[in-house]
Amino acid sequence: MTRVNRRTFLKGLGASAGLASSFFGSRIAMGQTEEAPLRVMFVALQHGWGVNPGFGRNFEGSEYNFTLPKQLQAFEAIKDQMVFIDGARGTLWGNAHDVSYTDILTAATPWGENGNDDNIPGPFPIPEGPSIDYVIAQHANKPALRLSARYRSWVSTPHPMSWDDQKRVLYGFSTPTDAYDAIIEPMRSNLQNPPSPGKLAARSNLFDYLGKDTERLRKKVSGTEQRRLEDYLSGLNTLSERLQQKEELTLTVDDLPTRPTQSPAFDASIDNYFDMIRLGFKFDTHRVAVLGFGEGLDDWTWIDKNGMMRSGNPWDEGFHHAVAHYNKQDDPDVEDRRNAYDYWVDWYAKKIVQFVQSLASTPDVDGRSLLDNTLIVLTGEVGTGTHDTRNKLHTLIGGGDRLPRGRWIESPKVEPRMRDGIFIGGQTRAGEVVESGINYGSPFSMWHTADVLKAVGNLAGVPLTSFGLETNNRSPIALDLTT
Amino acid sequence: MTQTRRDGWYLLGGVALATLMSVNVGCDGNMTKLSLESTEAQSRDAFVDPDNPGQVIIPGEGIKDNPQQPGGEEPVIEDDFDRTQPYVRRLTELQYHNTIRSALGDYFEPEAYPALDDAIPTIGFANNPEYLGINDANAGKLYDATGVIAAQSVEQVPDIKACVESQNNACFQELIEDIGAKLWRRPLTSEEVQDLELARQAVEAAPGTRVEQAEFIVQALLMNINTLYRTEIGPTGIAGLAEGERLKLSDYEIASALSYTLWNEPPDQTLLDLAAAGELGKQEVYEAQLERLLGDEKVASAMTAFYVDYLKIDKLFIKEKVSEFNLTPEARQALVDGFKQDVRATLQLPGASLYDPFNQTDFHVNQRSAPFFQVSDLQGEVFEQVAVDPTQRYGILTHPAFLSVHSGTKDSGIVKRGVFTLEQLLCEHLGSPPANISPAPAEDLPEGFDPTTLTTREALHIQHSSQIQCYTCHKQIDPAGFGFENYDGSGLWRLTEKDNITIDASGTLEVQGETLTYDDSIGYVKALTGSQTMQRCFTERLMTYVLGTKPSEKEHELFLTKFSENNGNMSASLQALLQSPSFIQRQIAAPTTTSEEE
Repeated sequence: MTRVNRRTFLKGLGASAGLASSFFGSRIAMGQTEEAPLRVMFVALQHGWGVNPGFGRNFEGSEYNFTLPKQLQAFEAIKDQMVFIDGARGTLWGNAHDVSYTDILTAATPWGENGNDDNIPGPFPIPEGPSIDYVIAQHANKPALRLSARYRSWVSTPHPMSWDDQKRVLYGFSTPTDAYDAIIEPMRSNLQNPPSPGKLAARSNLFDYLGKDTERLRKKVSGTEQRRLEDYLSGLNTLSERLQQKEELTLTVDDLPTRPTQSPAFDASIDNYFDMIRLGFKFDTHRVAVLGFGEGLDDWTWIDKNGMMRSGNPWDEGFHHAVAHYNKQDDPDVEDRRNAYDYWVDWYAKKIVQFVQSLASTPDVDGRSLLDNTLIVLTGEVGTGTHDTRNKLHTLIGGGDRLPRGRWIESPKVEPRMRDGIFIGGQTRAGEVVESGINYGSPFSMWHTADVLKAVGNLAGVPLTSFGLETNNRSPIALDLTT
Repeated sequence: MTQTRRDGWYLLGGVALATLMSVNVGCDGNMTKLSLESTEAQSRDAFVDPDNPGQVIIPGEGIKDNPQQPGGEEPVIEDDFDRTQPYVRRLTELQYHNTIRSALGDYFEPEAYPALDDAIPTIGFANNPEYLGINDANAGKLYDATGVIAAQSVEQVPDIKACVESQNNACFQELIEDIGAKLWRRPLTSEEVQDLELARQAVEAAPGTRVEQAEFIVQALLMNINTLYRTEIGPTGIAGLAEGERLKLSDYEIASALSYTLWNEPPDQTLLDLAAAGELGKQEVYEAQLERLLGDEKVASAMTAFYVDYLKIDKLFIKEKVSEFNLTPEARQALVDGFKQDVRATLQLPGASLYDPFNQTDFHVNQRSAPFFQVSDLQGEVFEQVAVDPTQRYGILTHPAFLSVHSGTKDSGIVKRGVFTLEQLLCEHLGSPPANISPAPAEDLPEGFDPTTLTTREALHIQHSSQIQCYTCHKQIDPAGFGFENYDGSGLWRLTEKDNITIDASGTLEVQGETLTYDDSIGYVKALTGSQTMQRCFTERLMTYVLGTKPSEKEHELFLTKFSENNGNMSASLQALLQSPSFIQRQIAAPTTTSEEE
C-alpha cells in the first residue's frame, strides 16, 4: 500500500517569521489521537432552510416530540440525528443581503456599515472577527475545505463567506474540477507517480524561496500594502500545506473519487463535493468544510395547489424574488410560490439526507461511524423570505453522543414593541454599542447566530466563551447543546 | 561630483545597508552622501557602476540597489495637489501573460497560461489593486500552470534547453539573472540571485536532474512576488514614511507603469536601458518615451481593456439568462469579441477620441452575433464591420454585449440598468437599500391594475410610486433605466413587449444639475454621452483605472480641463493623464482603506 505523507504545519517561509507567527501562533502540533476528532461541516443554503413560520416553517409539538414542517419532511429519515434550532437572528440592520453575507459565519458584522470597502469586491462590510470555520480549523491545526455550488452574491463572484483573523477573505473553490485538481489530484498523482527526489526538493524549496523575496518586499511597505503581500503568502501557505502533506495515511488510489466532468450537472457537482468532503474527513486531511448551495437547481418539480406537477420557476421574475423571496400574503399565486419554494428546499434536504446516510455507513478510526464524529450545521442567508435575518433556522446533524439529538429547540422571542430589557442593536467597528430604533414588526429571536456558532465551536472543542462581536452574544438563556 | 574610482566603479559615499529605507538624498560638497534616518544603519562605502547607476557594489556585500537612484534627478514636485497612495499591485491576468510571453518567448498554447479568476466588481474596476491578489483559491492554479510552463520551457526555450544539455552549472545563474530581469522588469540584486541559486543547489543535491533544476528556476521566477506584482513605492520603499509624505517612483517603476498602462506589456529594452541609466525620471526623457509609446498601435488594444472593464463586458460569460434569449456560449463569445474589435478599430483611427466608441455606428458582427444586431446574410466566424441602422444602434452603450450584461435574467432589468448608469456612468453614489425593503415582483401591483396590460415600465412605476419607501430612491433610479427600454434582456431592438404593448423609452433624467430629455433609447444614449455629467464621470473613471484609485478633486479637474480642450483625443488625453502628478508620484495616505469609490 502506498502511503501519503502529511505535514501539519508549514515548513519554511522562515524569513517571514513575524507573519508566520500571526498566522500560526496559536497552532499546536497535533498527532493522530486514539479518540476520533469531531469534523464540522457548514452548509449554507442561499435562501435559508425554510423561511419564517408565517410562510410555512411550522414545527409543532415539544422539544423531543415534534413534527417537521412541510418543506423539511425529507429529514424525517434522519430526524433522530438532528437538532433544529428554530430561530436565531443575524445582525439586523440595513439590507440583510449586504449584512448576512459577512455575518453568516462570523456574527461580527459591524453595525451601520454599507460596505463600500475597497478590500471587498462588493457592497458588504468586512467583519470584525474571523468566521467560525477558520477558528475551528486553526484550533484543529488542519486546513478547511471551502466549496461553492453556485453560491454567490448579487454583486460578486466569487462570493466570500469565510474570513481569517486578519479580516482577509478566505476564498473557496467554485467548481468541482477546481477543487478536485487542488485537493484530490495531487494525492492521486503522488500515489500513482511518486515524485522523484528532485521534484520533492523543488516543491519544498520553492515556498521557502518565495517567502524570502516576499519578506524583502514586505519590509519596504506598510499598512494595506503589507496586507496584500500577506494575502499572497497566505495563499502560498495553504497551497504548501496541500502539497506537502506528511502525516501517514492509509490511503490508496481506490479510495479516491474520479475527476468530475468539466461542467457537471448541478446535481452531480454536489455529489462531487460530497465525495471530496467525505474523503477529507475520513482520512483526516480536513476537519472543517464549508459548502455553499446556491441557485443552481432550475428544473425541480413541485405540486401546485391543484395537484398538478410543475417544473422550475414559471414566473417572470427570477428565482430570488419570485420564489425564495416571495412573501406577499394577498397574492392569489402565493400558495403556488410557497409550494415551489418548499419543493426547492426539499430537493436540497434530500441531498443532505443522502450524504448523512453515506457518512453513517462509513466507519471511522474509533470504530464508530463517520457521522458520529461529524457535525453538519445547516444555515443560510435569510430567515423570513424577505431581506431579513430575524428568525433563521440552524440545524445540527450528527455528532454522536456529544449532544442529545432528535430535538427541536425554539428560540425565545421578543416582541419588538415591548422590548424592555432586551437589547436590539449592534456594535460599530469602533466598539460603540448602538440600540436600534427600527420597528421590526413581528416578533423575533432573542438568540443571535453568534450564540449558535459559539455553541458549535464549543462542541468542536474550541473553548469559546463568546463569538463574533461581543454585543451579539445575546442569549439570555444559555444555548448549551452539550449533554 | 568628484568620483573616487575603484575597478571601474566610483565611490558613492556612506550607504545604509541595514535597511535601505528611510533615506534622503543630499549633496555635501563634492561627494554625494546619504543622510540616514535609521539610527541602526551602519555607514560604509559603496561604489556605483557608471554603466548601471541603479546599482552599487559594497565591499564584502556584493551588488545592491542604489538607494540614491530615486528615479532620475528630477525632484519631487511641491504643489498643493494630493497624490494617490503608493501601491503594490498585482499584474492583471493579461499583463501577467504578456510578461511571461515577453520573458520566455511565445512558445505556449493560450490555455497553458495561468487563469487567476479575479473577481469582477459591479461598480469600479477589476484592475483596482484591492481586487487583484493571490489567494487560497487561485494559488493552486498558479502553481499548476507555472509548472506546466516551466516544463515546456525546458523543452522549447533555446537558452534554457542549452543550459540543461550542457554540464555547466554557471549557466543556471545566467538564466536566473537573464530571465529574472525580464520577469521582474529590473536587474536582480546579488542577494536575490544568490537566494535562488542556493535553492537550485538544494534541488541538485536531492538529487535532482538538470531538467528539474531548470524547471525549478523558471517556476520560482514565474511565481515570484516580483513577477506577479509591480510596486509604486520609490527606490527605498514606504515603510516608515509619515502620512502626507511624497515620493517619486523609481526609474524601473516608471518604466513598468508606462508600459503596462499604455501597452499592457512589460517595459521594452529601450525603457529598461533608460531606467538603468537613471534617465527615465528626467522630464524630457519621460515625455519623449511617453510620445514613443503612444505612437504604437498597442495603445488601442490596451485602452480596449479599459472599456471592457469599465462596462463590465466580461460579465457576459457568467450572466444567467433564460434560454429564450439564445445567448449560447458561442454567441456570448462572439458578442464580447465583436465589442473588443469595435473599440479597438475605433481607437486605431487617426486622431481618435476616447469618446468615439460612444458614437460609433459601425459594429463588428459575425454569424453568431448577427441575430442580436438583427442583421441577416452574415455567414461564418469572421467578423465584418457592418453599418447598423443608426436609429437603432449608436455607440457601445447600445451594443448587445453591454445591454445583455446590464439586464435581468428574463427581462430588460430597468432597475439594474438604472443603477449601473447612475453609479458607473454618472458617478452618482446611491448607497444600499434601506432596512427591510423587499423588492417585489413586477406583477405585484396595487389592486385594480392588470400587469398583463401594462408595460414593464408602467408596472414598475406604479409599484414604486405606491410605496414611499421605494419611491424615494427609485424616482431617480428608474428614469436612468427607462431610456434603455428599446432593448430587451439580450439587447434586441424592440418597439413593443409582452402582447404587443407599445414601449415608451422616452423620459427625463435629472442628474447633477443637468436635465437630460430623450424620446427613445438612441436619444437617451446621445443625451447621456453628450452630458457634462457623464464626461466628467468618464474622465474620473479613466483616471481611476489608470491610477488604481480615485484621483483627488484637483487632479481630476486638471485632467478634465485638458481632456475637454483636446476633445478627448486619445493620444493627447493619455499624454495629459500620464503627466498627472499622481502617475509618477505618490503620497502616503491616512491609515484607512475605505474610500467612497467602490
